[in-house]
Amino acid sequence: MFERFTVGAREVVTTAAAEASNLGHPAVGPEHLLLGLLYPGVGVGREVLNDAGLTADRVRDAVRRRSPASGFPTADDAESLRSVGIDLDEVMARLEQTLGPDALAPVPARRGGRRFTPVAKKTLQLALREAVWLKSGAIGSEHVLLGLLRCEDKGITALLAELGVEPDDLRRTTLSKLGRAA
Amino acid sequence: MTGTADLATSASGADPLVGLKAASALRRLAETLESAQVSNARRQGWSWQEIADVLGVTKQAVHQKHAAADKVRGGGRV
Repeated sequence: MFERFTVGAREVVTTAAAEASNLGHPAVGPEHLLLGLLYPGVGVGREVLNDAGLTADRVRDAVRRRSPASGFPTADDAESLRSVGIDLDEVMARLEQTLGPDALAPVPARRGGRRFTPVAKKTLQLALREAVWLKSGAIGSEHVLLGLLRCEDKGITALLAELGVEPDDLRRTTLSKLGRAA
Repeated sequence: MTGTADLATSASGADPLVGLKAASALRRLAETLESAQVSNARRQGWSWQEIADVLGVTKQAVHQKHAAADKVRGGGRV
């Protein structure tokens, strides 16, 4: 399916896979594609996101907060632990303070980067559709971004909201950069 | 849940859902702490056998479980 992808768009996908693995996540999801879009040199997709104030570091921090590496306590766990009198944030903060941030570095998922979540697959299919609609001969990072904004996934919608960006605005900016009206 | 009395009630298991979730969360927290401290021990030059003795498991078990993290976090090279 990747033969029609531009070099930049391929970079997005391979970077997404590497990000998922480094975060200790078992599969590549739309949030990792968003991180891939922020990789230098992927093209229009990155420009749009940078203009909206998104950087790879900001997005990665938010992704890590929302979905810890597999095996690590989740945000839900924090609430459950409070019911037995444990402040998870306090425990994690102390651990990081005494042992350093690397002490909790996630172990890259062994199969990370191979498997794509259904939403990530849908995003790439939507990217193809956007490329066809825009009469582009190849799928570029801008189409991946447009696909991502269309995938209607709760997780990615919440992530973008947390980062203070509006999907419709991103879509408009992307299209105007491509010389098309939204 | 606000007061200490509420916390004590939920922890003592009146509601199975709350209690089970707390137990499961504690397990993940324990795993995270163990992982971080094994890396810490390795960075300080502990052998797998020494770590296994404290954890009360075999050297093979602790190695199999933590060797991958050890590589990422640069343990055992002191």
